[in-house]
Amino acid sequence: MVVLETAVSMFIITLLAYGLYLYSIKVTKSFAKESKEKPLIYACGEHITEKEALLADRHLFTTIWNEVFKPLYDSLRGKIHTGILNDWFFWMFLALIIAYTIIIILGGVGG
Amino acid sequence: MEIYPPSLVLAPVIAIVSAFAMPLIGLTIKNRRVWDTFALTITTIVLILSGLGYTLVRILGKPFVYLLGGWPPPVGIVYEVDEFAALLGFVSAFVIWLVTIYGVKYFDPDEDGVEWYYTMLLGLEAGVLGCIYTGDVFNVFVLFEVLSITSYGLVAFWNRRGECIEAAIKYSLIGALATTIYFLAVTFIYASLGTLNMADIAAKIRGIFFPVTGEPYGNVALGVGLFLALSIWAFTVEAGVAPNHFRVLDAYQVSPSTVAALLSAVAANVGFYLLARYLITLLSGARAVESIVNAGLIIVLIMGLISILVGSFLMIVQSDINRILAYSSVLNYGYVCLAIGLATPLALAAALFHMINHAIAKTLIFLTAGVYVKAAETRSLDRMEGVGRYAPLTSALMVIAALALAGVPPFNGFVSKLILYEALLEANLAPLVIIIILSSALSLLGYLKIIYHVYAKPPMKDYGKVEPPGAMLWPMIVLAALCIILGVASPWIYDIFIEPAANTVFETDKFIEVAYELAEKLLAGVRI
Repeated sequence: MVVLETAVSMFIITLLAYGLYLYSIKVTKSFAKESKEKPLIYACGEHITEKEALLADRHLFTTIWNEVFKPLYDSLRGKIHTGILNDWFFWMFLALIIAYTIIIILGGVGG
Repeated sequence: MEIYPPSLVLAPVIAIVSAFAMPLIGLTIKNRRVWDTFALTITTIVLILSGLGYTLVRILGKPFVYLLGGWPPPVGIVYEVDEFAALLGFVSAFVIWLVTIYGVKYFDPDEDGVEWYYTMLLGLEAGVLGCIYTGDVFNVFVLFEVLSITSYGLVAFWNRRGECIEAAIKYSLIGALATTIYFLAVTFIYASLGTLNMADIAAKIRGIFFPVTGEPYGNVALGVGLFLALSIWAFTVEAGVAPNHFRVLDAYQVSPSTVAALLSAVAANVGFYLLARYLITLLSGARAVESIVNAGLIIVLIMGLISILVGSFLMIVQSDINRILAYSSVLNYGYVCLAIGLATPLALAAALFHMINHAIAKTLIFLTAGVYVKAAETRSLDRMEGVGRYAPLTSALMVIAALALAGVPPFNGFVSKLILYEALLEANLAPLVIIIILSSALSLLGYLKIIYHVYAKPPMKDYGKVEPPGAMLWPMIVLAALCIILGVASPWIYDIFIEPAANTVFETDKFIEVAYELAEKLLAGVRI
């Protein structure tokens, strides 16, 4: 009788353990699907994207600089250093006009 | 009339005659060794002559004047060489000589068109030395053209590569515009002052009149103002100072390393030399145009500052080894321009010292980069990882050049930057010191990027034999040794060579006097 009670108890405990196991798997899966926390990657307390987390070691020192000055780089590379001759001429002639204007104003050429 | 050995004049003359002779030799003797020997012999002779010329000017203690064709100033073309010009000419000839030696083995034995490379190289040498030595603003235009045209040819050397053709076309279009604008500048000064002789120009705006050319007429301020604005623009194009720097980036990136070294280290210095000569020796200190010159100096200073910012910011985000070095050149041109804009004796000493230091270190780093690019067959840093491990000596030399350019003690670049800091502090411009320090730190990141890729990273593949032969190696060793010597022995070098040479730029009286004496002697009785 004692053996039977023990066996039934063990069976129930096993069932419970198995149930908990199945539940934990289910919970983990749903957590992985629904949670917004897991894919988030933090560096120095700041959230960074997965792409940024795969930073090549050679860019370790320059990426922060590039990110901070991104607007400046966008202007410098996208608007000024375009590789198009006409754009270059625009900036170069602008420099010439500014140079001559400074000379006229500060140099008092007109007077 | 005193007759001096015309060694200084012979240097550009021999170079240009040899440049014209080179294609004929190439046509008649189809032997690469003969071409190499010819080019090496000529550059050696030019080096010796420019060295003798420098010694001569030092012994004389005043500018050396040579009358071309026997015509006296201000009628004929004269070469007027002071210590500043003579020293810069010698350094230029020295760098060209080392680059020529390196080039013998750099180009493959079956490389096509090497005779044209030597033609352009010798022409470039003539243009550089001629621009530095001449005492005539129109002769500057002629030699500026010689320098420019040969530069276009050198950039287009690998003329079967599309990127080289594109870079050469851009380089030549902008260069042609610069020379045309300089020509316009010359017409304005001629219209106002009636002379093209530098000493006569300096004299006339100070109220001293040479025989023959007479007094100025019209609105001198307007003429000089236009002359100055257009000249500054043209010379900053030649020098590659922002915002006139665009063409040098593509050119340095795609041309052979020897060409990039020559353009970056030698040709650019011509622009700075002429800026200093016109703004300071010719026009500075003359009451009639004082405010115009001050405005011109402010423009040069601002351009220098822009160049420093553009060069340092963009240098660190490049991934092409030559393009990083091209932006590094823009950065260093900014330092020189800033120093010229300050126009104090200390600042000009800093400018001259930095021109020399940059010429040496930049040539070295371009030549070492040439070794890597040749071995890896790419300029992309991502695709040449670890190549430096196959050439430890070259890598060591490259590190020396990088540290010198970044301004790390005890190398030469540190000393010239230190003098520039002193000059800025002397002029109460401490905030600019901070900008220079910040730009140096950024540039160090750029150089470290190169070192990291080519040496610190494990090799991507077996690059085979990368360490270059002796003929390529020893010019680099000499340049590296100079980077150290010019840094360690800087107190003596500064006192003996740099400071006296820089001071001659401010000695306008002497510059006028030697030409005036000759004019008086030879044109006695000739008046209009």
